[in-house]
Amino acid sequence: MASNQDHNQPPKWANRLLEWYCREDLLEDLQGDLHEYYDRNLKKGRRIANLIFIIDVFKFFRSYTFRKLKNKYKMNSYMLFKNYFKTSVRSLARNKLFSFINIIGLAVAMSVGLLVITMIVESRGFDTFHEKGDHIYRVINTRTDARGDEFKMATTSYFLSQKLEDVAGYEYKTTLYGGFGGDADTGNKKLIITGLWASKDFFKVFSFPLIKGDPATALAEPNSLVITEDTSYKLFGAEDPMGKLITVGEREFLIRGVAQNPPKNSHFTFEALGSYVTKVNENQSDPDWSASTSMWITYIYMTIPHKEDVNQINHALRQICDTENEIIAPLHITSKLQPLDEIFNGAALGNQLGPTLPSSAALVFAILPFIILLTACFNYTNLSIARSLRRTTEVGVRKVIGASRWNIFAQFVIESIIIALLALLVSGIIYIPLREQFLILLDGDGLSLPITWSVIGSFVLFAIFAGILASIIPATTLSKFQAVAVLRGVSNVKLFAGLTLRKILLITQFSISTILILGTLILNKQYIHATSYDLGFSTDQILNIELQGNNHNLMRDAFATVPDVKSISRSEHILHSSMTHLKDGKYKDPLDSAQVHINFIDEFYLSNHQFSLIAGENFRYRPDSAEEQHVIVNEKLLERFDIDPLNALGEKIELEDKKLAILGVVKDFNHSTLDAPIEPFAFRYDPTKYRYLNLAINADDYIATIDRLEAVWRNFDELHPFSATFYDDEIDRAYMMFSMLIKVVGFLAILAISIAAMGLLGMSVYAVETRIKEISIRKVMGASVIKLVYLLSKGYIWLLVVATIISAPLTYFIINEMIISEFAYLAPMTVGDVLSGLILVFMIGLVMIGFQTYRAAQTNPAETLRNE
Amino acid sequence: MKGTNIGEFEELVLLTIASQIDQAYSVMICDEIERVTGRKVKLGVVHSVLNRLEEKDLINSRLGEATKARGGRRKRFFEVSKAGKAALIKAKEQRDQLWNTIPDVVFKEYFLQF
Repeated sequence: MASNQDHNQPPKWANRLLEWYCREDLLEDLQGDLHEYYDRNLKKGRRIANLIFIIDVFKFFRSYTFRKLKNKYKMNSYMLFKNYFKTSVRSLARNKLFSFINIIGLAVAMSVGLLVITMIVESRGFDTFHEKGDHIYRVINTRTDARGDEFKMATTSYFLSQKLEDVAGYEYKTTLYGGFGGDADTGNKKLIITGLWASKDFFKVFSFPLIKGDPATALAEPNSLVITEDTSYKLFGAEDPMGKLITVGEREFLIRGVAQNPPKNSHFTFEALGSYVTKVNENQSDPDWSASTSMWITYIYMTIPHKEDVNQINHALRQICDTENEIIAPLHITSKLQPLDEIFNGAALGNQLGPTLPSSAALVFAILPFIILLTACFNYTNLSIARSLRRTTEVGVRKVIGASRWNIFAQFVIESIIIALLALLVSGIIYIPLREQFLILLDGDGLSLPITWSVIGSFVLFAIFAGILASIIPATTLSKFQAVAVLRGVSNVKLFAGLTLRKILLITQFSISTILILGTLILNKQYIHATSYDLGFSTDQILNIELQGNNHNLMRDAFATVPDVKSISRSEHILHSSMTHLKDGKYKDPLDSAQVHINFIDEFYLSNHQFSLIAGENFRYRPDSAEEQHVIVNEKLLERFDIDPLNALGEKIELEDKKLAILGVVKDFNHSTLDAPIEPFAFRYDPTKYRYLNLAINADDYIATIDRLEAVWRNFDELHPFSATFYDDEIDRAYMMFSMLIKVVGFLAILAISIAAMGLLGMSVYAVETRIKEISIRKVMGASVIKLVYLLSKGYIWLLVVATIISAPLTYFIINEMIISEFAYLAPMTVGDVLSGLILVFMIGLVMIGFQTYRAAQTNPAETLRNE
Repeated sequence: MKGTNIGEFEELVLLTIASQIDQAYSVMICDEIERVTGRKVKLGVVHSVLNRLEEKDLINSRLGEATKARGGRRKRFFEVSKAGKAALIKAKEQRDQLWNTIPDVVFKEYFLQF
């Protein structure tokens, strides 16, 4: 019955809309009319009747049916707001240049802020998809070596994972081991896959849903494999992969699960998961594997349902470490739990499972744009206060009519917010290409900077914030005016109220710009210095080719046939660009061990890279199977072990339980980036370790040569893409963070100086405007143009000088603290560097002031004085 | 000033209200005008005219009894006020005056056609 009646009712929402907007005294009658029509129209069908009803409801939305605002106060503030809006828009339109400077300045500054907001909003959303997210913790470690150097890392050891089996308080625990993957081979298809080894409770800790397979058992057995949808599609197409056998690397796996593709907003992703127990079984007999100090690749995650248990487990971890530290002394390891939501945005740790945005980096990213935003706000403050005189009468009249101080304050804040919102529109135009550029700079590192509604909402809030920030000082100053004083005559108002403040703001702006510009110049100098530094060996025209598992002998012989290839050597690492292996080395004293960098090379390596051998001789050819006997070391190693350089040859160094005789000594060279000092280094000869071919090339047309090399590669390996990089490019890449920093700081410097320059332009336009009569009279009296320009600009030049005096030492201090302490081998900072930066800032400032003042000085005095 | 003269449609509405003693309400006014003049009349138009007439004090309104029809909503009945009657009479007089000044010759041909 009820439903039947419902059927003959017009749509409820439309009815409610009518009730909402319609005046009460008209409502009942109008509603009745519409119902009557509705009943009539039902003959034509319910849908048509509904439609007509809805249309009618909208059609009756007229001025006379509209509900008047009930509350008198509400109406008042609504009208006031309308009035504020109107006056703001008029004042904006009247002062086009000032509005332009304010809007563009704010827009430029805000565009960078928008980028940061996008980044922060995205990173807040990381790892939020796990059902038990609030209860997931990771074990993190701090490793302190004998020298007291601390290394904080996200990885831990198999040892600790085993020990945790006996600890109570957690619900599930999963152990991950990095570096799973390799060439996957189904028999029909080959594919390179990457992923993780994961223990059986992986799917109980994390919410990576399985499409096929049982999450409880998929990773429980040895040689089990879980692949993602994408991987499954690439390997098997539409076929069901479940239960299929597949080779990954050298191992056979049974596919026991297909997982949904891991979402992007996760601090780690995978294409495949191998069962961890496979790895454990293989390594059971290796004492290194279960040592508490093997802590570079293993990760432990657990769910802890009750917060109280977190402390308890932390306590247990401490106890385990305390016991173990006595055995492994002087090494010292401490472990503790880290909640999941602190992984992506937390402290910077080594050995992360995927890309992260450490809070310290995020802070820098947030502070710099904030500083830029401040300088833009300074512009607004300066110009508003400078022009406040023009609006004193307006303020006075408002006050006489009854506006409170708060009303005036609100008016100017609203005006500023309107400007900020306009600026937001403009900044959107700058933001879009900026975002693209930034994504290129990030090189797809975890962040994709999606623009969502919450991002856009944050933008608007940010604009309002910027508006309020910019208007606080001018709104306070303007609302302070006394109505009587203002209306009696402008001369009664303190003309230069806030003049000191304006000077301070201008100085701050220019100091910030100078610091950023100097910073960029010095960073750039450092970068050039680092990339062209004499490393102690030659990288010129050397092309490094990754072997990717191919036989080094075959490949070398194949490449040797290509013309233009002068010589080929083989090595495990590319020095300077990637990390080398660090191993504990010992000399005679069994208790004294030192970390030694190691690179495995062949007999051509040293000559190919032009290392200078200062004593002894090079390696000789040795068959792959022969015992390793020799080592070539650097001077630092001799120094470290107190070996007399004259008698060093033949002395035995113990590395990885092998006693190796020193065959030769090379001069010290920079094996790492310039931020690291030169440390003990040992070259060893072991053909099983080679991962790269180093081709010395002498060609006119490098592209053609590389094409030829690639063709050779294709004959041997169709699966892996040919990966060859010139050594010099490799070194440039090692300083990528550095060049990124230069780009970011340089860009901000450009923004800061443009904003400051615009502000200065606005101020000088204003100064000229107010003093135009004075200028004319002076001119009539015989002042020269040059004198006038000097008169008008001398105040600002002083400001520039003060800004310089403040910023130059400050830059020096910041650069010293930040860079010099980081870099072991630094380009000296010269007076010339500082001067060139200062001159640049000065020139920009002078052009801004000079242009305006010159124009003013040029005007015909008759034009301005005629009306007097 | 404004309000002493009424528009053509306003006049129609006023006349309709006057003709339906005590029974005139918006929907029926629409129907009646449609019936007499044969032209389509929108409720919205009538409604706003009623509102305007009431503002000019040419009509008065009262709410009727609640009935089951119209979703239980009461009707608003209209009657022509004293001022409204005066306005109607004034309009009629003006027209009559004009009619009376027209010489018979003007309509002679027109009448002959019938």
